[in-house]
Amino acid sequence: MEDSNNNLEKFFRDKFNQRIEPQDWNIPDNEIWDSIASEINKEDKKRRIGVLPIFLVGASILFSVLMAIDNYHKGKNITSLRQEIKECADHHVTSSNNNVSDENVAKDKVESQNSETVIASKLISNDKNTVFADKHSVDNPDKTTKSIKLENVQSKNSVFQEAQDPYIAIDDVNRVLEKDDIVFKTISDVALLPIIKGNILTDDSHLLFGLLNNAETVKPKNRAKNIFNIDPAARYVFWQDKINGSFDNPLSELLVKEETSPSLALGIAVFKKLSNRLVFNTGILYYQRNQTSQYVINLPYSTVDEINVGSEFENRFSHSLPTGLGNINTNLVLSRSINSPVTNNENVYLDFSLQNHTKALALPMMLSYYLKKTGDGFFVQGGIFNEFIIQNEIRDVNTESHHTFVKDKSIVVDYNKSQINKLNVSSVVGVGYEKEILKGIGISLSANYGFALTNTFATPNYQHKIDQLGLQMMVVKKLK
Amino acid sequence: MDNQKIRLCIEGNRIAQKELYEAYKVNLYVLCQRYFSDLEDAKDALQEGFVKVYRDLHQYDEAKGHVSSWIKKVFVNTCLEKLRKKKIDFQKIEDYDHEVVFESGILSDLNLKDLTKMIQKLPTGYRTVFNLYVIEGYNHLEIADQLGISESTSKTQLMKAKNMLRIKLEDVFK
Repeated sequence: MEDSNNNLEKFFRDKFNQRIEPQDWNIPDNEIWDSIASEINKEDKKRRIGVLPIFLVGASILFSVLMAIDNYHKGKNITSLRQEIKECADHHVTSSNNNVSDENVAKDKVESQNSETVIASKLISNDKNTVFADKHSVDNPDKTTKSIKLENVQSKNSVFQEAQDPYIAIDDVNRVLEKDDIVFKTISDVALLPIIKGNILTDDSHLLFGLLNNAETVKPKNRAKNIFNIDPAARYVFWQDKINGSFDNPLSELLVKEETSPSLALGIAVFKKLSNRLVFNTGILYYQRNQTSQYVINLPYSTVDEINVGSEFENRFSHSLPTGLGNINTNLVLSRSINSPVTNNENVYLDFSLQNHTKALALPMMLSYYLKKTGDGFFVQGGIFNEFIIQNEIRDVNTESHHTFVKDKSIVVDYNKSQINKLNVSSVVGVGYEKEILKGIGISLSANYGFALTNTFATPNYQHKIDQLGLQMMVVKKLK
Repeated sequence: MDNQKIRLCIEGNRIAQKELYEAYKVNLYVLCQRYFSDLEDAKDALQEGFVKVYRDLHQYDEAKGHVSSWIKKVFVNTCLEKLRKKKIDFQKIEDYDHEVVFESGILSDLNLKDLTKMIQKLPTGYRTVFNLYVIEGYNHLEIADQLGISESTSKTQLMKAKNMLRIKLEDVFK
């Protein structure tokens, strides 16, 4: 017995390493196994759902890239078309004056549906020239200023007619054109004409109206809807954090509060109008933010472990704290004067705050429903908010002792950067109001609530999610 | 437990999972009881521990040791996690109950149940550090890291735990 007492540790260790007799321990088998099996089933379901955020992120990136490419090509084509029209118009300003009196000019008086500048198009069969003339020139041939002559039309005739579907070609390729064959369209409509080879732009970059081999498949109305807008955007957000989930507090430390500073985000916003009231918006925004975690730490101050440093005693503590950076390690030095009356293991309460600085890219995927019409008035929105952490570092550390005699002297903090997830995904719902304040500049105010879908920490030992309420002001410059 | 059974467990085979449960349940139940004075807490830990084992079994690397060691580690972490949620104060000792009734008469004959009862009667902080240091074989640095306390606190807790156990043993066998 004495031997065992002298080596208490060995005694207990040996005892618990012995074979355990099952009959001594009454385990309610079925009850526990049933609970375990039920939990495993739930875990399996969770695992299947677990890939959803990753899938959504991948889908959002892919979708954004596709939209950007799509928009780039369309924008390029439209710009080049406009340029083509302008160049042709400029080129033929003089020469068309000589032509307008001939058969190549549309002399008929045509009533236009609107007062804007219009372009009349007509394919002339005998000399294979196409003439454009504005309404003004048709009414007043002597004053024609914008007629466009297109040469090298290598095909047979076909014409457009102003009908239900104005851009559908007529198949009668041999018919001599009549005045009704002249079609008037606004310049903006011309820009929306189907851009397919053999229709508007030929290989030699001449404008052609009328070679619509596949015209049935292209409708201007749809094209107008499918355009994606990529615009520069600035967003200013106030955050209110709410810690969610089981934050894994150490035994004697208490997380009191977490705060995220307001942040200014800059980037591009991508919009896709789905209907008159529904808009899909995404984009990429860069921002920086500070997150402050405040703790109260309770330390038993050991007078046994003190080190004598001149006129003071010091006590060194190593801690591990869960923060927005993951589990950080702290080396804290507390000190007291030699004569101060402190008893062994007397509690010392400390305020401890840590601020981390984060640089991140945000990739939202949101649907906005406007009560009135897109881009104007109140809207509700919802979707997924993806945040990619580019950099995360400790910016500021503070301690303050509340003990009468024991003071905090210094603190050193380090952490393992791989502990935090580089990707945070949250689902967002919100309401807002949008208005065009200046020509081409829209502003929207919205309040959003984000429910965290992923954990802050990469390590399974810590469960930490941050739900956030954000008040957001966003300015978007609408590019033409 | 051979590797094929483990593979079946990872694949979600319920029969293999039940076999694993049967093979380790007693040892792990005793482990859980060492960390919790309340029997219901121990049962909860047993259940949570097995769920984690099945969930994370794919992370087990046989090159790093036997599966039983890995499972034991998962259970220790599960117990610590549950304790953290309870926000235990290390200094709280008023719940210490000196009235331990042993089933055996002499120290060498004390069975695991007796010893477990003794450990269960320790204050939670003492009990946790004692378990980690003495039974699990952690050092003070590892305990400090696991519990978020200083090394000196860990040492103090262990010393007090051992003193309490020694006094109890001496009282009983006087």
